[in-house]
Amino acid sequence: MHELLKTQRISIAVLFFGLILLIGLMVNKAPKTPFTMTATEMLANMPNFEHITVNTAKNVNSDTNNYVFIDLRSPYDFEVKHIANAVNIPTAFLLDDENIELFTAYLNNNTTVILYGQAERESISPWILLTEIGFPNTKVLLGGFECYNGNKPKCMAGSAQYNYAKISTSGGVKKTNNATPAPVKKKKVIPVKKKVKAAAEGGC
Amino acid sequence: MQKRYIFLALLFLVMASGLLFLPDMEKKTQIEPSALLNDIHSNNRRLSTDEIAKRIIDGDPILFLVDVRTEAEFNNYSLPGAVNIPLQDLLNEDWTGYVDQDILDIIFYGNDDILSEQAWVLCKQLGYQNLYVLDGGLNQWFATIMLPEKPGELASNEEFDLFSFRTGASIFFGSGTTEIAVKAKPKKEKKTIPVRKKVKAEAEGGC
Repeated sequence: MHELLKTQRISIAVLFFGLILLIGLMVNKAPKTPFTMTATEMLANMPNFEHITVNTAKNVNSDTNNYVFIDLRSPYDFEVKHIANAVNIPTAFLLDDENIELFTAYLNNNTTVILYGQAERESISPWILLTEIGFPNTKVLLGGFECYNGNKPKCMAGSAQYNYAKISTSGGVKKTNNATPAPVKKKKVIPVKKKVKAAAEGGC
Repeated sequence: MQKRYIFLALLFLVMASGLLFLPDMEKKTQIEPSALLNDIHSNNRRLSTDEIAKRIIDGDPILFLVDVRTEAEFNNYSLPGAVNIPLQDLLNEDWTGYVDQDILDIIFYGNDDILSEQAWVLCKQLGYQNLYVLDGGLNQWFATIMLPEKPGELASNEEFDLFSFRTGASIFFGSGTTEIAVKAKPKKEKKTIPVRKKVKAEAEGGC
């Protein structure tokens, strides 16, 4: 009887052990698209990337065999206006299975993928992410859609638009603009009223 | 019965010894691509210039500003209290202690969002915590804090409040706006106070 109990205990323990292993295997799924590049490698590689300027983009826009534009904005923004021949993949859906298949197809076809958002900053992180999971053919449209579309006069992303040091020490551009002499305030002259005393009149 | 007992015990032993030969688990520092994509999609990382200005003025002790531009640009101008870590040096071991921690709020900034976004996404991928980006970078900082624009006549009270905050902040950060500068150095003209001469009444004929 005593021996029987021991066996039962051990079988229960084995069962639990197996269960834990099974759960562990099920939960610990490897990501479908793991990073193939570490952050450090990516950082070291960054200066080697030649991104696409607006002018280049306009030139290669019709070359649909070698270049494809990916619009990262929402479908509504895409609907309003987008670069001709662009494909709309909102940032949130970049890693969906079908999109990964699409990117793989582009990679195999040696097609350069040009990412763009409304501003350039919206495509920076997606570019790094896609490059790190194994799509080195991804590039960024410099200046983003707002520059391509000509909405923004200055397309100098990354550069300083003000003379920082000068402004912070000398008191502001606006002040120098307004350096024209301020209208001179006329002095208010308070007329002194001379009390005109009545001439001495004859007394009493 | 005895056989079954031995078999189970052996099975248990085999499974247990299997644990010994598990591959070394990589120290899980990197987050997964899908998790990173969620963070990229979220806008929580972008802190407005007004918020940062307020925190600098308040002397927030957990604020840690990281200037990711080059050293020359940093020397030319930087936010008060900022530390210069050029983007290319960001992942050097020298800086790991500064960037990989869970006490301070790290705010990356560059001239605009481009460099800071790169710094943010690389650190985020490595699983670092409390990472933020100065929304619009220094260009936005100068457009709003250093050179605030006066709201129009019909603007709401909030806009006027914001403007007065920004005007105050611009003085704090060392750039006066037009009005402030003019007020600071008024051309002193001697006020001529017209002296009233008392015209004495001539002696009048008394009685």
